[in-house]
Amino acid sequence: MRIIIAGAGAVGTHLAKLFSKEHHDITLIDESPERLEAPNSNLELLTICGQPSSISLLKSAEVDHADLFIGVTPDEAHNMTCCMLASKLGAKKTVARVDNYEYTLPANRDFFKTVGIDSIVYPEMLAGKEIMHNLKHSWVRQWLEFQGGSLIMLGIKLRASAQVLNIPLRILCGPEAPYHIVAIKRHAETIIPHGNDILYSGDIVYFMTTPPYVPFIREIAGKEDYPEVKQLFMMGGGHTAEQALQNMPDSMHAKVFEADAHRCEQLNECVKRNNAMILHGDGRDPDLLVDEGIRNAQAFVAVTNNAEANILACLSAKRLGVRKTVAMVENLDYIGMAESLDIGTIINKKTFAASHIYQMTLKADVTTIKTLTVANADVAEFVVREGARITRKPVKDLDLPPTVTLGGLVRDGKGYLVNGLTQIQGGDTVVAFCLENAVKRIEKYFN
Amino acid sequence: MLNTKLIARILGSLLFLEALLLLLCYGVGLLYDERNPAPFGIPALAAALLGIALKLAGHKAENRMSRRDGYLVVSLTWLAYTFIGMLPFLVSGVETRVAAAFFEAMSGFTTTGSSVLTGIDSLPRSILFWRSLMHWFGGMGIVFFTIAVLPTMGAGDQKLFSAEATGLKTEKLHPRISTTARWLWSVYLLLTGTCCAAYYLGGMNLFDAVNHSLSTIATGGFSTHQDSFAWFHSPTLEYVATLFMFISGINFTLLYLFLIKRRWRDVFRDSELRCFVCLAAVSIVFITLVLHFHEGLPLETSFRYAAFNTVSLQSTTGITVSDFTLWHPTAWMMLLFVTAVGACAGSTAGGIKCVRVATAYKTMANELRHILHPRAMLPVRINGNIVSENVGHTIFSFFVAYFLLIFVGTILMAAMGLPVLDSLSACVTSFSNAGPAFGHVLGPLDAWSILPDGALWLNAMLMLAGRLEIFSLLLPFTVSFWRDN
Repeated sequence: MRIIIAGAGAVGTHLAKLFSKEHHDITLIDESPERLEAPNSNLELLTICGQPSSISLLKSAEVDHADLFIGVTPDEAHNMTCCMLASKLGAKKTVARVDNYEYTLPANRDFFKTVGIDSIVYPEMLAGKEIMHNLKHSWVRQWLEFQGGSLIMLGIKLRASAQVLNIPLRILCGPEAPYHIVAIKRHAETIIPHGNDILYSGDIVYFMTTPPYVPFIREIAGKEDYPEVKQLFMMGGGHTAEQALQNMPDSMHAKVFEADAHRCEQLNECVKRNNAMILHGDGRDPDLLVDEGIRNAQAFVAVTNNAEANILACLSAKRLGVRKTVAMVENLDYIGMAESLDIGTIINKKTFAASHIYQMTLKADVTTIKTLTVANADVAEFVVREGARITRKPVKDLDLPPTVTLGGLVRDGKGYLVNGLTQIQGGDTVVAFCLENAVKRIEKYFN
Repeated sequence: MLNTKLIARILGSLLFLEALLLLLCYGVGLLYDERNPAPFGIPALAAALLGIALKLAGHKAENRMSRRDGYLVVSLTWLAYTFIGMLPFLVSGVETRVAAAFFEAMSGFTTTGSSVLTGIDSLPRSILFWRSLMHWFGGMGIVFFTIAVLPTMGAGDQKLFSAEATGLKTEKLHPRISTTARWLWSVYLLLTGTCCAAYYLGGMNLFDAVNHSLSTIATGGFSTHQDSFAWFHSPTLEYVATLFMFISGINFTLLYLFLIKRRWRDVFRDSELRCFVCLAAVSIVFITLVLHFHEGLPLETSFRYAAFNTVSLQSTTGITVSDFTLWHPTAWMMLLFVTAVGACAGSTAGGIKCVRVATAYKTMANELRHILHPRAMLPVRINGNIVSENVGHTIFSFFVAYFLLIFVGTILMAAMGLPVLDSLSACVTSFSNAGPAFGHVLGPLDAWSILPDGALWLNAMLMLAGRLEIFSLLLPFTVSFWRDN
């Protein structure tokens, strides 16, 4: 595939890295030679220095042969202009990164298609939604819903209180168990479990289950004493915070600490909610936090642009007694460290944007793909074609790669768990858990 | 630097308009066989001559209007209209005191509806119609009307509009002020027509229906009968009047959105309208309970009286059906409160306006929260939009000016020998352009002619201050208005 990426910022270079591993032909365009320097010397790609909205430059980048054009410069108007130009010059698909909620509305999708923008990504909104999703289920680290909630995947950190520890999985969950353990994250390693594996305290375990059994999972994981999040403290009032607040349920109350007075006013302008209070101050100041009643808060979310500050603020909030912490960590190298420091949930905008865009490069009918920040794995939903390879044998005889496990399937709107004996049929939607970009490798099973 | 020539020219054309209005009343008089041309001919002639003189003085005026010019034009227009408007009462001999005639005319144009006249039923029809017409004309704003019909004002339209319009900010319906003005006047005409038809169907004769509809939609209060609405003895008419008084208390921009653009959701979500409805509902329920349990009136009658009086006073119409000073004092205080608050900005109603009260209330509530959370940035929102600090200051200044005016007014009235309650309520009702007074000497059904000249002049100026929302009137009296450039 020939892919052109306009903008060598954080998202752009991350995407370039992802795609170059998969042997796509990548052209990276940016105005600044400094930003192009590192990708140019480390990755296998072509860089062009210049304005991505210049027609002559786009022509020289051979945009007419491009399969995918991605606009991820910091300026949304610029991205949209580039995409429109690229599409009119012959690019097959275009994606633009935006900063405006209105543009992401499904009602406007067709409108954007007519002007040449096939897909819209708003990383901050994806991150904001994810944060709120996590807080609604504060006892889980990650909560993914598939096919409108017929299947649910839960990432849970097990503590000594869990009932499932120290039992081999073949005894713990037979074919009749109402859940399926798809992956275990232990220390820095992600394991696809087999019958002889045993769960230990400190593991993050990914359960696949159907909605009626969520309370059961909570019980066996020993998470029943987790309080519902009613009072939320948030540090940093950037776009991610704004989107998180927009998606906040009415039962939650948020206190947002933002150090810049001007930004506080802006937040007040755009977040028209009565249950959000914007405070002008530093969210790392323990006196201020205690004064505002952090001891009554059930969650602390740190979403400043500074990963180190976010991690430290979450740690200090933990010491002040907050059980659920969420940190935004943009620096991918820090994610492992943040994880080992026991920060509850880690949010990374880059991977959200990347997984959204990545989806467009897959040939199969992948309806969603989510990247798990912590377990460096992808969870993808595949629609099974009639007569595809996967429908010919039961799952245990399919000879799937060891880095892949099938979690569950949705048939006629109802969710089922997958075990070795399951026979997959055409028209099913299958949820697969894939390590190390294995998504590409199992694509062929579904076509 | 005032552009005196332009001011003179605009005043001149406005006075011509008044001459036309006076002739219209003469025409109405002719229909009822009132052939004496003097009561309207002389004032019309005066207006026309003055108009010509001003037009000549303003010949070849430079078409450039500053902010000051705008304010001065508006203040002078209202004063000039009132001075000409009092002449019919003096010439026809229904009133002999200049102060009383001026008071009556000011009460007319500012849609107050307090009257110095007694024996209203026996007055000439042309005079009665003139009183109603003054209401109707002043309700939407004299200058505003001119913006709608005369294309000659040129560049100054916007400045004139903001000098006369009520409320915090003037929402434009259209990029051009004159088109906005035409739309709002269309809504006004439509409402008046509907109201007139409803009154006619409800049992009034044509003359009463026309006059009462002009007076109701302008939220004025003059009636063609001494007993006002009580003369009709018709609960149906009282309910109809309640409905139309309520509608005229709503922001006309909202009515436009509701009736013409059909954007109902915007209308129901409007913070100010909600505030208006809530206050009215509280007052109606409270007074209904007082009347039912304390005065022993039947439930329906209690509700009807409560609704009629609340809406009449809150919309600052001031039509009366009963002497509410005979009720328990808590009921009067409730009515005095809704009179002071008034209805929505941008309507024909007077008073402090719900939007200011709502903003002030929210600011106060925020202040309390701010003590608990000193670092919090707490916005005051009206209709989801943050009220800027400047607007907050304007509202604060308005309240200060309001209380100063009411306080000074009350002291002056008390100095003229009136009881304190009468003085206070007279000042509030005049400022709110409501009409009925709440006192023992001066009750809601009494004519104000029992007051001395000084009190009448004072109240007439309070009415104007209320109608022009204080600042437009006060501004030309400040030193800096005339001095710095």
